[in-house]
Amino acid sequence: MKKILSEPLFQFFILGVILYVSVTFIRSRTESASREIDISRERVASLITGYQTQLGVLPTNQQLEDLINAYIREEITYREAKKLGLDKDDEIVRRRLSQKFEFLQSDLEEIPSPTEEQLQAFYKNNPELFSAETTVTFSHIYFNSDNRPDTIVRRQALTVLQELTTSGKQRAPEKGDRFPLQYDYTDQSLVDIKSNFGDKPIADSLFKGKTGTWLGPVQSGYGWHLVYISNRNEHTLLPYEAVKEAVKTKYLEAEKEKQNRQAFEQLSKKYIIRRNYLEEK
Amino acid sequence: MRLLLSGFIILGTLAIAACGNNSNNTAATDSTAAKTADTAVAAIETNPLKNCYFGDLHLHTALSPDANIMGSTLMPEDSYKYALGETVTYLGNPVKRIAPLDFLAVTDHSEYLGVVDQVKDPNGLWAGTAMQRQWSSTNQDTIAKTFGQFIHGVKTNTPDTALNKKEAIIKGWDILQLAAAKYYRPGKFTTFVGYEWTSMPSAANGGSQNLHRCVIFKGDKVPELPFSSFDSNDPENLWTYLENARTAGSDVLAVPHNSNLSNGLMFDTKTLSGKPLTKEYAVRRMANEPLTEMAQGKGESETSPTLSPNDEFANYEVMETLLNSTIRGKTSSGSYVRQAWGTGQELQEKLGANPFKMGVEGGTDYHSGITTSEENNYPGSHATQDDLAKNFKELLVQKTSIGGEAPIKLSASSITGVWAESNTREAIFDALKRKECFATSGGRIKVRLFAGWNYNGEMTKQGDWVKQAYAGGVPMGADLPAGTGKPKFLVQALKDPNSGNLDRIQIIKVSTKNGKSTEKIYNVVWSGDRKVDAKGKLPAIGNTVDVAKATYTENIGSAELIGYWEDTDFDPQAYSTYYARVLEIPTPRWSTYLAAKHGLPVSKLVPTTIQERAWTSPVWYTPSK
Repeated sequence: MKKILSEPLFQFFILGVILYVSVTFIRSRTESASREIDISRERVASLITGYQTQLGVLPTNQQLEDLINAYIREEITYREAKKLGLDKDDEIVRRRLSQKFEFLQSDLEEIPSPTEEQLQAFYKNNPELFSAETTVTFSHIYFNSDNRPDTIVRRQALTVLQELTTSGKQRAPEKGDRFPLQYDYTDQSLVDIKSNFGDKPIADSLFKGKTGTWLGPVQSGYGWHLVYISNRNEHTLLPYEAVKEAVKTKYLEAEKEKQNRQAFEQLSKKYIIRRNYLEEK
Repeated sequence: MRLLLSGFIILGTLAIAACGNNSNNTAATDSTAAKTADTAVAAIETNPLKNCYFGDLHLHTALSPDANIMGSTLMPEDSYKYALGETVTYLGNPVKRIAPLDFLAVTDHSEYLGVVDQVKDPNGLWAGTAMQRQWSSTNQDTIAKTFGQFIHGVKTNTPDTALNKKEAIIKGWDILQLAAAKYYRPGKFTTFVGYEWTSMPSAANGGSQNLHRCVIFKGDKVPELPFSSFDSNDPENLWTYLENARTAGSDVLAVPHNSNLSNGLMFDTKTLSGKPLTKEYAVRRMANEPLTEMAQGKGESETSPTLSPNDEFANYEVMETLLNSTIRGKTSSGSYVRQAWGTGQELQEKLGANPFKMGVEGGTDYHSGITTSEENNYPGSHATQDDLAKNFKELLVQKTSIGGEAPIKLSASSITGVWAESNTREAIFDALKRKECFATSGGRIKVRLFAGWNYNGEMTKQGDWVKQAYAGGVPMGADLPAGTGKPKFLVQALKDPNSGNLDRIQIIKVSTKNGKSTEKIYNVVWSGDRKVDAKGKLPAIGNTVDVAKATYTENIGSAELIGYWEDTDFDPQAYSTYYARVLEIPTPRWSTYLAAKHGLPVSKLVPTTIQERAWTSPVWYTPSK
């Protein structure tokens, strides 16, 4: 007996048995753990609040039963799917994870407060960001098209237009119908025109049409008009003092964008990217 | 569910970033804003005959806990930018109003005001706490649990002491005030400091009864803290707060909203604590609440088809399901404004004062941070709950939501029109107080209403008719002074140049005599050559809408309607409330624009076309005793 015990072969054999038994035991433990689904009190409570959040009312007992069954079903299929590795190489899963990472990683560092010089330089280098809007000053004649065909209204307007072209007049509201608002408008921006006359063809005429002459007839939300543009202020760079606040906001936005871009560049340096598709076959 | 909550996670993360940036900017730039405001004051032009200004007096941002949980990230500064016509990024997409607004009040809920944002702030009061881990959690179950806890607390009036922290609420209140200060441009754009008091006591059937009020301050001097429904859910206690604020030098008013969802409580004939109404109650209520919200995103409150069976336009954006439930509220009395004007007169006969002599305004009540009331430019209004850009397919058919009703039923509505001498806080606030204001279903219809004893039909043909109307009578919101003969009215409506032509103007009269009230609708002026029948009914204008394309033509209707009307049925012994209602020609509803844009079938839950409208504040006649 002693002899057998001291036999190395036997010792190996015993060791093998112990190893086999313990590995089997551990594996079955973990296997069964991954096959256990506990529906805790907290889980049920969260299913209820989730339902309430969506529908605004508490679920009935039957609905709760259904919710729990649906949860069990989801959990089982989720685990099985993971076992099969279905989360790998899935376009949607990939995109979600990537988005989540980007959101968590963006705007991480605070941008230091800019100096006056930095702001001035930014203002000078980006004039398009700090220019005043184009505005128009004009007078108009209104032709009401309520309950009248547009063709007749336009013909009437064209007659007036011909008359005015030779008259040299810059203002003639009496040639048309009564307009319930103003006849003369000063320094109107595009958005003013869209508010006051509607997002209609008249806006285009006022901002693209020739100045110093009668134009039309053009349509607004109210009817037809002849317009005389006396002046159009094309957008000009605003004085620094007037837009200082906007300069700072835009500067910070630009810096943040730069920072996020640099952070990504930094990250991408850790990777070797092979553009194999470019290689010739 | 899974998708919805993952939306919360992403937007929640964004909210942290957005919040931090905004508060930094606000603090840094405030002093410059004050300087520019001062210099502008001198140049403001005033018009004694009054200009029409449009704005929203009811809007929520990420400072409101419910909006924040729904995934709203926009802050008050974004709200003002959007109102001014600037481009703002909403749920990842650029959005911009076609026509900007002239004024805006951001009215976040005072309950946990700004707290949710701060709970998530890694450097805030809750840094490192279990609560921060819970509220910042990206686990969808945890988020659902958090929302459930929040709703329960507000409904049962049991604040979570760990959240209801004074120092945090003051911080939220500061953000609201600083944003209003920064964007106020006297003469050009007016901001108001305000908030919403969110009382919603539970009914016997478990439904929440909406008694909410928006509180609007005239100036920038305001109490240290807003009054919340956690302090008290009884409006009479809110009035005490308002009265104290006025004594301390801050004029302020409160505007009730969604009487349609109040389960009959908003215009009840007894107080919330169950006592009969008194003369003192009536006087106090009108001093604190001169206006009520006629319409908003969650339905209109003018009247219902059941209450006004003879009103063919009553079935308009009606919503009667109580908030956060599927319970249909009580609407036979106390829920609609037109009926309340009668009830108020009945009480006046008994008590000697009318508790419901209110003018009307409109607000959106959107929880997105932006007043997207333009029907053809509506991206949704409750953040991830109705993100039209992303979930249009589902939203066209979805039947329920957190709020109860389907998101498709929400209205692209409404805004307030004000007749004021200039675009300043003082002028607009005073106009609201004297009720010289009106509500529209979202558009910019300009409507005037005047009443007097000596007007005539020729006046409207004269260029200075408005001047004559003011000189010889009173505008909307006022009392008709004693006089002889029959009351005469002048009405004018000018269309929204970005919406449909006008169909008609009606004057609606609510009369009360010996405890009995009646309503009558008069067609005063209309487009085309239609004729009223023996019963005073005017044929429908017709409908030019091409539903599949979501377009309409303007070969029907008028750009302007102006008219004169005399109340030939006038009884000098009866109390009377007169208000005007303007109707547009039928145009596509926002849901129709949405379906057409994506080539999908229209929603079956809502009408495809609507007749947008405006409602004026009334003129009142009181018999002399």
